[in-house]
Amino acid sequence: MKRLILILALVVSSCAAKQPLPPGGDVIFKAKQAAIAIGTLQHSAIELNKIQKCSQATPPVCAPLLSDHNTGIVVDISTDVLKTMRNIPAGWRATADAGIMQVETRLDAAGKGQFNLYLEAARLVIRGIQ
Amino acid sequence: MSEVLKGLFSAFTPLVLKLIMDWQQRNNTTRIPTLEELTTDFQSTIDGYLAEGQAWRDAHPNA
Repeated sequence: MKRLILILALVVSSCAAKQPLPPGGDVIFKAKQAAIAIGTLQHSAIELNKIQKCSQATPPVCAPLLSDHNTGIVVDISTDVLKTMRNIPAGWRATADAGIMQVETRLDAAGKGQFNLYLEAARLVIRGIQ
Repeated sequence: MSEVLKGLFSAFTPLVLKLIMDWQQRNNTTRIPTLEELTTDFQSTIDGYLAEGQAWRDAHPNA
């Protein structure tokens, strides 16, 4: 699943770069790719939050794979990043990089372990937007 | 018989070509989008993600 997301993200970003653009459209086009990377990050967190992981105890104790606390961090930062990109598309790279770094910093230890691969994928996609 | 076919072919060729050209114009995937179209698309993409985040936040106000 994680590999699939990474591959899809790379394919989308590489294919999209071949679209012809009007003058001035280059920034918007790149900002959109960055927005998709951040939006996908948020979507991944929300989907991981829906998955319940249960203990072997009786009765089993279940909790979201990505906790509400960590998911909230990803959602809130993604929202800020996306709003900023919408207002200032030209700053997409700095905005996205700062957002990813902020998520990485604020997640707790469990969240870092569960979400690190998704953050790396997003970072890779952002880096690949040329 | 072949003369009839030739005649039919000649008569219908322009029509067929026009149909093909019209179809190509309608389905022209290499048309360059306008800046306005790109911006609208960009903003609607972002709005979709913002709505998804807001829906999650509304369902988890204390998270």
